[in-house]
Amino acid sequence: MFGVRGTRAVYLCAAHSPHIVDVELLERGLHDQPADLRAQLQARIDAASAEAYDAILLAYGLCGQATAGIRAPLGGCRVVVPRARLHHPLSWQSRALPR
Amino acid sequence: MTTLSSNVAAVYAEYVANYGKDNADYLMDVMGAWQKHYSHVAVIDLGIGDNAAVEAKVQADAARHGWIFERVAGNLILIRRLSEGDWANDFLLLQPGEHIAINCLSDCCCRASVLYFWAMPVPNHFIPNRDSRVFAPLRDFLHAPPQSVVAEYIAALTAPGDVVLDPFGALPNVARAAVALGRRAIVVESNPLWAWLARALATLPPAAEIDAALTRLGDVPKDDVALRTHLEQLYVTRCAACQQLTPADYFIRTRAGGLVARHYTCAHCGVTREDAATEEDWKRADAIAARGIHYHFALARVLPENGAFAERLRKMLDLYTPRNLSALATLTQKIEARFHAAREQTILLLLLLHALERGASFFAKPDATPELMSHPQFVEFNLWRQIEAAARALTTSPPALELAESPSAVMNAAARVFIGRGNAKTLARDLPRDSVALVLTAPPTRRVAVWALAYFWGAWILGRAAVQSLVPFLDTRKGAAWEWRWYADGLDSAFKSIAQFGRTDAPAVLVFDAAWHSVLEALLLAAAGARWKPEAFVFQPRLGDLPRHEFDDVWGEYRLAFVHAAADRRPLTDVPTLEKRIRASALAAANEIFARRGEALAFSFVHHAAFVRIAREGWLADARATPLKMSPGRFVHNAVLAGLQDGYADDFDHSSNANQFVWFRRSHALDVPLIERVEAEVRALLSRGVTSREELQDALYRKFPGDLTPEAGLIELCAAAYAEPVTEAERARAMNALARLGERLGYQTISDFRFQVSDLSPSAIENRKSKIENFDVVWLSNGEMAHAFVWRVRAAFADLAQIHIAPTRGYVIVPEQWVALMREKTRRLPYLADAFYEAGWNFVRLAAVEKLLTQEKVERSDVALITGLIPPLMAARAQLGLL
Repeated sequence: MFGVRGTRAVYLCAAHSPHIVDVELLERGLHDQPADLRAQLQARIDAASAEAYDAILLAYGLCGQATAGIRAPLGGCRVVVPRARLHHPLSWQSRALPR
Repeated sequence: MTTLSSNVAAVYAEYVANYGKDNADYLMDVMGAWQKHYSHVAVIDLGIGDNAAVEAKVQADAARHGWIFERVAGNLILIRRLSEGDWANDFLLLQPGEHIAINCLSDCCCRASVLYFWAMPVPNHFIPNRDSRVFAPLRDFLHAPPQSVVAEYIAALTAPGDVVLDPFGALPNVARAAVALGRRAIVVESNPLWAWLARALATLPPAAEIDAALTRLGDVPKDDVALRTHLEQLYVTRCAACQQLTPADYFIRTRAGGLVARHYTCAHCGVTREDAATEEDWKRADAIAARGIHYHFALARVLPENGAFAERLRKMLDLYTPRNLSALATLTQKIEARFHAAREQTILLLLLLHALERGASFFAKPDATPELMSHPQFVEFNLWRQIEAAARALTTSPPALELAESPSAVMNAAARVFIGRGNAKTLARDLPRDSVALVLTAPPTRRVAVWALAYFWGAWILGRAAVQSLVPFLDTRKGAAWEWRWYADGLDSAFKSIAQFGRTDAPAVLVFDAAWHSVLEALLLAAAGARWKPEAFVFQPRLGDLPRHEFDDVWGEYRLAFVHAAADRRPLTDVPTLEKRIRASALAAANEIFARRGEALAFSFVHHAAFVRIAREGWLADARATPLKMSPGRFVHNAVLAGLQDGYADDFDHSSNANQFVWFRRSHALDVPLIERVEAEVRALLSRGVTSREELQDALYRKFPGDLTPEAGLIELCAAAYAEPVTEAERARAMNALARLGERLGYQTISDFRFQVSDLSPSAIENRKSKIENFDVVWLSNGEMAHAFVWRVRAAFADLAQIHIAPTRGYVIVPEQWVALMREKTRRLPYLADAFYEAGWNFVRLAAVEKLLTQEKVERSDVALITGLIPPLMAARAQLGLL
């Protein structure tokens, strides 16, 4: 599982999960440049999918550019992405409203 | 929120180092300007740990920026469901090979208020060419992907605003499709003539302007008459009906210079005729000197300044008859002397280019596609008529595109499309890395002769200097080995550069047709060097195209999609191991495609399956990284063939006759033959009322994607067999005819025959599990069953191969609409057809039975005349018809 923010929440839920979840964090700030983030995310997904996981979970929402084009590599495993809109921790109900 | 993370701190430090502290502060301030666009700030309390410190910090920031502070209670539901595997509804599941596509309602993704996300795989089904034939000069020499095909890939693989790159764009098809879908496009072409052509065709003026240009050209005076009259007079012939002179549409000439025939519509009496050429025609054609002034004008135009390759260029000039060369020289002189406005000149040069193509002796028939060979007979067109037709066709072109002056204008979103000369290397100046969402193109042609012609035509149209880069292609001494190396090396460096422009997730899709096996090998090898792996591969030859020899090529349509591959393991560079892996991989791929299609295949299918699998598994990349005694291409090619030969030791077999060689497997682990599955699906769709060809194709290509793609024409063949259902009345007619014939031959005939054990011959008793209980008609001789006929509701025969019926002769009755389908089935299932015949079965066509009945005298031996899918009785008639 890759997470960018809300690491506590991610670790907490991973620990409680009936499955074995390996958490991997990507450096904060990457989201300032969506293309970089996507490239980095994709590289990590490609690497992880070569290992024997059942699924790769992204703790990123489907925001703007960062997850667009993310690919589940052929011959690898499934990739799961929340359909949520904003890329704050998945627990969010962010009220930071654009003016 | 304003704490500098390590990353931001690093950026700041970099700015200080590069621009000084003041500037760095300013930059950080500007980059932090997003903070000004917010009015609220909230802390989400998840109920884990102590948030007091964070909250205090956020409240301080809120006070400083004037934001309204809020505390929001969050929960862990989504994160918990994500980590526990409860992914219904709120999660997007990407299966391997799928990626996330976006679409948005407004113009640009960033400003969209509503975003739609869905998982979209690279299309793996065959997307047929549905382009209506748009006219373009040299069209048959250019490799360009059809617009209808590229449009589907663009829609599936990119979002509005994305940039699509066509690095080998000889026609503006990708540009047009991209712009129509709201994407941006960059189209470059290294061949100066193709690049000029693509730009000219993309920016054609409106029909009225084309029309006016043609009229003005025709009106230019030449020797006291209008140019159009002068040119038409070159081609006059005497009407055989009214004996008046009239311009011909074309003459048929021989390689040796002879005149065979003339085709014309008489301007006086209106008849359209094709007659033998007369002595007068000969004289008129010979009146133009072969080495006259027009010849030297043309040679001077195309001969490089240093006079190199004069002999080759003379040979190319000899592609033109003196009459055509004279017409072309006159046209060229008039266009250059009289027309200087850029738009008008472009139109006329396009027409001239068309005349240069049609004037050459590439056309065996007036409506044939041009072929680069010496036809024993060829068509000498009336070039003025050709120009008029081309101008009419150009007026129906799609509207002009607004072109950017450089690719960077497209990158800045100042324009939507660039088309022009360039290659992967020149693009590096304008195109940032990771900026392209999709590479979509047809690979350049490998035929050096076409590149040589591009020099010749390019020098004629654009001037020698413009096509200087194509001069090396005139060298015929270089030979085939050089051609292959040139092609492979060119693709190699082009793909490597192109791959850098693509985003990590950008697929590269190649849409092309008619390739040699070695072209596909070169493409896959070059792609491996660019770290592209094949993700989707479709090969579609035409139905019935089969090779003559074991390893020959069959040409077809290709759809080849690559995605970027991350390096996932260390390359294998031990040569013997690598060779072993490739052999095993090739054999496995061959086994798989035989099993999946379940029928005999042309070698091309097997070859392609093997190479695509080897590319997918990364062995091509490894071969490139390994020091070898030969080129990696040759090494892999040899290993693949060795792997396929290994198949013979396994269960591979072949079937060959004079004109076709197919491979198959004798294993029982094969899937139902593809033709049977396609047939069943077509029947099902027809019975549901689907009748349009497009709908059938779309459904079938989706149902049988990738390596299951049916050959072009197979769907139509099945549809034709079942378009009219076989009726009970037809069965009754068949029963009746067979009963009558049996009686006339002196047999005892029985209809709707039901088996009794006592009826069976000894060998038939061994097969008591026989699925057939009924024969529709049997003919008995002395109480023994001599001939037995089966009426079926489906064009199937293979199941009967298991029923040994000999010495009785068994027949499947074939209605006429099934004949073609049945023939195709016996061709694709040669092993089952053999077993079918050996078990004592054959086919009988109802039409043949009825024909035999019309004969006055029939004998028992005549039954041989009506058996088989092409019974001798029908074959004889067909031959008579031909005579």
